[in-house]
Amino acid sequence: MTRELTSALRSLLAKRALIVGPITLSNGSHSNHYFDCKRVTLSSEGAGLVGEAVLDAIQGLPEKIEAIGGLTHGADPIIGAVMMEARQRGVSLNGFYVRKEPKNHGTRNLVENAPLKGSNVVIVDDVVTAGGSVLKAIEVAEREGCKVVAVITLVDRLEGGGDKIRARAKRYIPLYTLDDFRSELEECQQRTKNSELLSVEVST
Amino acid sequence: MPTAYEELRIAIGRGFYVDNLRTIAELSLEILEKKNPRHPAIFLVLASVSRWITDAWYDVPISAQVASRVEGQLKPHLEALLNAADGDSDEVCAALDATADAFREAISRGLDCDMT
Repeated sequence: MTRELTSALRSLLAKRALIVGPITLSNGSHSNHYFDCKRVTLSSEGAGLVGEAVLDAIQGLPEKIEAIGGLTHGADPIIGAVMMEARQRGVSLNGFYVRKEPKNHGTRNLVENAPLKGSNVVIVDDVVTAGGSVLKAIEVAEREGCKVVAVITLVDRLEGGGDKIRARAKRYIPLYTLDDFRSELEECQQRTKNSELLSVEVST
Repeated sequence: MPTAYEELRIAIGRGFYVDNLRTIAELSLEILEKKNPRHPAIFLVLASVSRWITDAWYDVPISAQVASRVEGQLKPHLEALLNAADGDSDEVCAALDATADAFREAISRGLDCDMT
């Protein structure tokens, strides 16, 4: 990933994906910030940058990768973006996604467009908090007979998920971590503090 | 080992967040499908309500305030439904109606909010 690409994608994530405020996360914990990466991955500019950045990381791996996939929905637009970039570069790559739950009362498929057994695959995701989505995708991909050679994520929130993924996967490549957004977080928190002080002053 | 009913009661007690709501829905469906409950409607409603909120909250930022409000509106009713599992039909019907009213109130105020 070039320095320009790193900087452009970081800026876009900071501008569009980073939300500051009290949030309840899916695992029940609370946070004062959230990365809604779909605001980036589902934009033309963001999809282009994400496609380039993730494919750069994939092409930097020593193994030849046959497919990339991940848990729906976070991984879906990343997979699409990488497919488009791969085509532009003349790289052959397949995508697959893992459902959260099997299709009810039907085929009970858990993986859409499952790679061939023995394929080298990369798991992708947008944000890592506790790592549950990535770990589930690894488990399912391995159950399908794939070799998971790396996990690539856009943002690691540094809340322990990264360590779990490192313990489970051969390689873990977060393109950014929370530390890359400290200045924006501090700025937002300061702004919130100032507006609270202002509202106290107005009310007294 | 806790029974499915006890597991479900514990799960409801843990509160409203996506991973746990999914567990509540799964346990409720399991009881509905495999445990031959006396009042199956209770478990269908428990599964539906928790699934509905899971769908609304899945993969989107949910403000702690909204999560707390929805939990406050619905959790007591889910607990009351489970408490009515061995009750008579009138008791069950009242608990179902109260849950439906609370759910209607919750969705009228919105299950999520714009965090922009």
